[in-house]
Amino acid sequence: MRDSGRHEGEGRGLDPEKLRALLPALGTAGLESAPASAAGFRGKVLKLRLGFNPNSSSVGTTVVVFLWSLVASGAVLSFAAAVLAHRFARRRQGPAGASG
Amino acid sequence: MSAEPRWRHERFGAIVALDEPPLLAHVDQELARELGIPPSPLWSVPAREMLEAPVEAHLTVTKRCNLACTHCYQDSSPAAGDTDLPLAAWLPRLDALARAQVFHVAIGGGEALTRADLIAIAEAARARGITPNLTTNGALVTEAFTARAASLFGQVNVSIDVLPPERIFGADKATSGMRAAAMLIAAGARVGANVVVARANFDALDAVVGWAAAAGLVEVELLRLKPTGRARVRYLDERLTPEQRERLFPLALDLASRHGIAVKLDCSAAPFVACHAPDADRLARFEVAGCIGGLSLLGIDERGRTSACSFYPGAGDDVLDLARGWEDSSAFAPFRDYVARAPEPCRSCAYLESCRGGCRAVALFLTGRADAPDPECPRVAAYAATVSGP
Repeated sequence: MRDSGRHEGEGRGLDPEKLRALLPALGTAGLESAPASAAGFRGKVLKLRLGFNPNSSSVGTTVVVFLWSLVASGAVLSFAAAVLAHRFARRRQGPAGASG
Repeated sequence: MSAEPRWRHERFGAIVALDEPPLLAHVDQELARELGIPPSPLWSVPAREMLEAPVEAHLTVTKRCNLACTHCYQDSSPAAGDTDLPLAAWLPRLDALARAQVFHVAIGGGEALTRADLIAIAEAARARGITPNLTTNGALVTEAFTARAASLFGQVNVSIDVLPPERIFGADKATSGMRAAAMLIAAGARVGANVVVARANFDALDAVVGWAAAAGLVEVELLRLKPTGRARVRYLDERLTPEQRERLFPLALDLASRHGIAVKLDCSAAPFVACHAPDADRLARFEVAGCIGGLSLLGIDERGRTSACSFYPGAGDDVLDLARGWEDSSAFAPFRDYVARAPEPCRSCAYLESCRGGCRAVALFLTGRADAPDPECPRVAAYAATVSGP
């Protein structure tokens, strides 16, 4: 049992910028297309999971996203809210979509 | 792939899923309203840990496999498959998942491609608003398959346990897995790799992750070897050493950082993450979670019978009866009750609610008790040594 009191990643030579660059590969490339106005919500994203889970035996623990969250976890959740708002708005403006 | 958001009500608000970009978000009632999701009577019902229905179901569509690996958790082999449901029997079971508003199915086996109707099963899921994902050893992947798979599956993971290719766990899966991954990527599929991590291949992870990054895969998932199916026979010899268990999380971080690719650990590795004292709140917000069997995850075997996870025995309930079974099946009790009844040292652990005592399948195999802490957790092992004395 190790209990160093440090955040994971500290002192292990990790590069936050490199980790930030991993996000597109995790499927967040669409987040930047969200309009800036979507940031003014009172509600919030409680939990966020990025990517799929193809494995038929277990659900993955997303280590890289977790690390990136050390840089700006609140920003990631806000971005996610923004992209959701963008998609819901587009759905309302377009032809009748499926959901619910 | 659908760009439309899908959602369903939960007591806390709603779950929203997107395929592109692939994300799944729990939103509170306020944000749900702001997104245009109508209020639900559920919003006045007291909160609980388990969701109203699974988010994801793991479908074992066949027990048949072209291989017979020694670490197979399903006891699969070329001779198996007699108990597989036909396509016509899967359709009403997919209907049951769709009625429950399950978002994803993870299709596997056995080797799912031994079924000639695999594409039809996946298309049936997609037609019901459920995103199909797939795990394969790659040996039976063809050009015709990849052409359809690229737009049908959310993601396809190929199994590769060691590189350079060699026979490990009774088979060389790497040669066919690398070939399949290249074909799928060329066809435009989103592809990941699964690695079952055991004592013998722990030091080969760097080569697998390095290859995956260079080949254009999107992620590598490291799966802890578990003592179910045929893997029980050699589990005690093949499982990770105590030192490897503690090294796994920092190694995953290092591999992700050095190779520039996402590296995931499976839910059973939660004790090996928690022992490094990460920020518990961030763990929760990004679903870096331990066992979620019976809370948001459902296993379905080749006969259509449900379980809390694919590694743990069910109670014989058919997924056709999911509306009742999700609430009442006795198979989920060891999973759902763990936090409330956790013994020491889990009870006093700061990570109890995220880790949930480690892997139930490992605990059952090593202790004979479904409600025991995972004995391979470093904290549990240290506690056991303290209790038993020098």
